[in-house]
Amino acid sequence: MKKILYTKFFNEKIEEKADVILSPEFYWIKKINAPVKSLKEAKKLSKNIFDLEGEYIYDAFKLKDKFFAVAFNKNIKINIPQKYINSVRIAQIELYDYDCIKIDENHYIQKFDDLLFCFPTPKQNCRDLNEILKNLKLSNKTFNLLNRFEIDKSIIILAAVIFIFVNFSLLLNAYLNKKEIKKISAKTQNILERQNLPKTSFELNSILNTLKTAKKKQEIIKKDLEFISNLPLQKGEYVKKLSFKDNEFEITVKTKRNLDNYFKRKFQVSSSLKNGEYKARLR
Amino acid sequence: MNKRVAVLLTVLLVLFTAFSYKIYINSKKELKTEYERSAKILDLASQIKALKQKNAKIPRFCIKKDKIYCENMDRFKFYRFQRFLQKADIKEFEIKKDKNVNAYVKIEK
Repeated sequence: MKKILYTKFFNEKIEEKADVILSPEFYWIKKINAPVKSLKEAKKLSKNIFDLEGEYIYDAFKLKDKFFAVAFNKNIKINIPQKYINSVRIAQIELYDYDCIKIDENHYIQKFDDLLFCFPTPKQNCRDLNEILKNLKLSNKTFNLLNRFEIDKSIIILAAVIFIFVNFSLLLNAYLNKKEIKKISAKTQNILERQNLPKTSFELNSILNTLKTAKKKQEIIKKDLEFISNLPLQKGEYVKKLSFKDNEFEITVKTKRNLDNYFKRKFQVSSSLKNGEYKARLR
Repeated sequence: MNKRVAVLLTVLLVLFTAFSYKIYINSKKELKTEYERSAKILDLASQIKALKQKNAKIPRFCIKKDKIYCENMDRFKFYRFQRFLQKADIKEFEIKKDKNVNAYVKIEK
């Protein structure tokens, strides 16, 4: 991938992806002399090292066991289409190994006290930039200056708390619902087991229908029995025998009358009247 | 923070919340279905229990063998027998009147 040292007088037209190295004029840099143990600590400290007015992006990095603080103007403008910028880096890191670099006839980068600066007058024996860039091995450190999303920490914390609360309550409720389902199911099964009933509503419906049919049948028998009991008998007449079997009544009445007219109101009758006895089969 | 990372993170969080919400809604639906199923089953069970309940009490003077035999019934005993007959699930019966009233009943199990 192409490597570019981006200076204030950069005027090349870029139409391919490139790693952009900012020249020292685009950032403020200081070596951290305070005793710092970690990069995290250095990053925290970087804000307080500079006394700058305006909006800046502060960062820190470690280079050859030394910590450096760096500040970029938030409104930094790089005249290269953003889609062609693969990464943004700084000369301090990428060109640290060189004491003097010749950018063009009038501009040079020189190192003083571990810091790289841009100068119009060169030291002797400066290496040509194009030659260096050709073989330059880039570091891992890049700076996110163009695609930044600034948000207040308290808002992030608030959003995180809301997110955790909402998701926790949703998942907790889901868990409680599942638990309740198991509880209801177990309770239902328990009741069914106690009553020796099957578990599915299909089987239960079948049993219920059988019982309802049986009940209906019994109701019909009782109504028929009531009808037979209400047989209007005259003096000296009585029912000698009454039986019920296979959905059929058999009645024997001590009488000289034919009682078909009465029974035919409700049944199919096959009867006989002999020797003062009326016998009938009622269906 | 990188804008893309922020957008991606937000999308991920929204997706996760949507996923949690879906789990919650599904569990709520399942709970409702289970409530309805359970209520239906318990209703069927209670109906079955009510229908299975035998209210008919066999009179003391009757003897239960393969059938229920009630013999030598006077008017009072016959009245008690009739009450039993009204409530029992009859399969077959026979009532005979000679000097006394004798009867047997076979009821549904």
